[in-house]
Amino acid sequence: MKCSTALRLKIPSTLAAIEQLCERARLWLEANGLHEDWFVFMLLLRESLNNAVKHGNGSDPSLLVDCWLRKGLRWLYISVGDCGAGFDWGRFSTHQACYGDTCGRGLEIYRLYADKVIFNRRGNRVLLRLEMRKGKDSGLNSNRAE
Amino acid sequence: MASIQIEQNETRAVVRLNEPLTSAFAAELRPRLQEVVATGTTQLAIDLSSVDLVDSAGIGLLIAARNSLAKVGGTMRIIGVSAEIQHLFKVMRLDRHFQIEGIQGVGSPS
Repeated sequence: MKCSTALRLKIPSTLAAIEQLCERARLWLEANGLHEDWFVFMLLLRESLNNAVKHGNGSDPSLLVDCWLRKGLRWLYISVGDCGAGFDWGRFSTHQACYGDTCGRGLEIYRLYADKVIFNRRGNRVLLRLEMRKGKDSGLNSNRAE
Repeated sequence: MASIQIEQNETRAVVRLNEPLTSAFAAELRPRLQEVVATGTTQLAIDLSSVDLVDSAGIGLLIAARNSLAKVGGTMRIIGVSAEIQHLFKVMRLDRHFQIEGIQGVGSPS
């Protein structure tokens, strides 16, 4: 059976809906034979969904989060958008949580694990790109990780 | 199997998790960890042997538990950590907050 290389879903802004979407994404990854990319892909997907649900839509279940996933020839793509006012993505490149902070690490995970991160002008949609592992040693973005 | 298993003996406790430590589960786990610390635990081990993913919400919860323990002079270890999660913890500098032990024991993945 041929599997789709793209998946698009819209969910209400709840933690339960994130879990359901991630289960769909897991099945999509399996159907596309992307077992080696599972950890990094799911980590980035969850971070982007958390940001959209909590910070973008303020956990308001009436507001939707729009998510699409795509497998290209070399890259995997995650795009997540919300209905919020957006955020100041200019601080993306430098933001780092301080010692003891219990939040504020999502953007750093983008930087460490995605090969490319693009925000729309308003700052309420992110596109994350990661290279498929297949034979590579590490799923971590070696240019930025250490 | 329950998502959270807690063995508590006076000042020592081991909390075993059986689900990915992500935002939804972190919300469920938070009050259980608060209870463990509030009832006198000063040496806490969190066992991630059955956990295949931790996101920033899970990381935040682990740091919050460590912060609570530090206030009462306690310490925390994370044990049974997979190579991928251990790598995540390392690049997020969590080894400055608590001792991290891989599935094979103390140390970093190659």
